[in-house]
Parts: sequence; C-alpha cells; structure tokens
Amino acid sequence: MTPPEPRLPLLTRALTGPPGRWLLPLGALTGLLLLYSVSAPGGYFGPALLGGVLALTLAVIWIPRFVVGLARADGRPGLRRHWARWAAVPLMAAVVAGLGSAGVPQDVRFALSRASLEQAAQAVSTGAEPEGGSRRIGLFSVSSVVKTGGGVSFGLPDTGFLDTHGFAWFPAGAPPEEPETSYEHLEGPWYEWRRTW
Amino acid sequence: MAANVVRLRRALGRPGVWVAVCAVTIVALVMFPAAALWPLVAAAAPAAMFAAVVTAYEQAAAFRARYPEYGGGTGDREGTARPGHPERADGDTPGAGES
Repeated sequence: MTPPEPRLPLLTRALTGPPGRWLLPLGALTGLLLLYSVSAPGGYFGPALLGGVLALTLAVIWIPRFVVGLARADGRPGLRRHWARWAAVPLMAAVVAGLGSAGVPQDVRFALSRASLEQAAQAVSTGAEPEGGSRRIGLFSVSSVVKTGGGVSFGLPDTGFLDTHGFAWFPAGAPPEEPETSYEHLEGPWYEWRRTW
Repeated sequence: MAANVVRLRRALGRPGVWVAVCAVTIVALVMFPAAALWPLVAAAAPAAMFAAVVTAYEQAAAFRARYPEYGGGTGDREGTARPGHPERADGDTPGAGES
C-alpha cells in the first residue's frame, strides 16, 4: 500500500493559488449588492454598508495575494497561467464603480418601472385608486403614495440615511416650493424628491 | 522563556494566524465602527494579509524543497510528465488550491 501523497494545508494552497470558487462568487455578490444599494434615490443604507464591508474584505484579500504573487519568482507563473481569474475581481470592481457613478442602476430600474408608476400616479390623481401605504409598483417597493401639490408622491422605504427619498409625478409642470423637500428633475413629469430630517 | 519564543516564532510562521488577525481586525471594524478604528483597519488588515500570503509562499517553497517528487504537494497535474511527478521546472506555485 502506497502512502498518501503529502499535501500542503488547504489555507496555504488557497493563499498561493488564483481566485476561484469562493472569491469570484463573493466578488459578484458584492457587486450586485452595491449596484442594488444605488438603484433608488438616496440609496439603500443597509445593503450599501454590507456591500462596503464585503468590498473592503475582498480588497484586503485580493491585493496582498496579487502583489506578493507578482513580487515573487514562484508566484508570477501562477498569475500568468490564471490571468483571467486574477483579472476578474478588479474588472468587476471597475464595472460596478463605473455603473454606480453613472447612475445606471437607478436609471434602469426607474425606466423598467416607469409605466407602472405612471399608471399608479394617474389612478391616484384621478381618485380611481386611493392614496395609501406599502405596495409594490414596478420594481420598487413603495411605502406611501400621496397626492401633493397637483401631483403624486411616491415614498421609498429604507432609502437614505436620515433623510427620506422618493419619486414625484407632476404632469402640469415643476413641483411647488417646499421648505423641507427638494426636487430634482428626472425626465418628463418625473422628479426625485428628498425630505430632510 | 526560550520555549515560548520558539512557540511564538512557530505560530507567526503559520498563515492561519495572520489570516485570523486580519479577520479579527475587519470584524472589530464592523462591531465597533468608530472613526478611530478606520486607520487601524486600513493598516493592520492588509499588513496581516501580506504576512499570511508571504508565509504561505514560504511554506509552499519549503514543501517543494522537501518533497520535490510531489511538485509541492498541491496536486496540480497541469503539465505533468509522469503521473504523480508534476513538472515544476518553472518554479510555479501551482494553482490547484484556489479560494
């Protein structure tokens, strides 16, 4: 009977090997979480915090492994051989940072929900549907739908840190001046609002 | 005293100890998110991870030197000339282990 082949400890092999079955899915999950966190006005604080901690953890794991692998003669062949896996994490980070800073997640989510929001806004403004609390409209969870100054305001739960945020629909023109609420025009009759705490 | 120094040196030569230091630092940041902790985490967590990776490479190099017939004992069969005797001419730390 031949003795078993000696092997390095799992952690040592993981630290000297390329990113794989744990780090890459964790990177993808972190990216999705961060994109979701900026997909509504004001952002979602909880997912942003969790995504930030995961991104920090990924950076702390990935950067030293890459730098040491690059610096050592016995690490460089591994980097060359598995370059695609090594490139995947920074590539994901760049894509997430680019999409997030350009506001793409919110634009896409709003565009996909706009028809449903418009339908709800018209129904509430004409009285066909009552004003009310929590419901799902398009891809957004809405905490309140209320008539306001000739338009309809949609509150978004869990957005912002201390402020509250949402969308507003003003078909007749610009929203009225309000002391604690600021509006930013999105497109057509749609505005994004922010109510300071 | 000397025995303790030896034990400490042995512990610091293990990647797992450094990974644990790194993890504890990040967990401390999550549990106590004070501004004062941020510089500590920014310095201590990557430093501990660097130490973990360097000790892991040193462990792998020592393993290759001790068991040259096993190609580092990582089980990476890529470019194997004969079964059980992988080619390690390039000095690669093979990528069979991944994370």
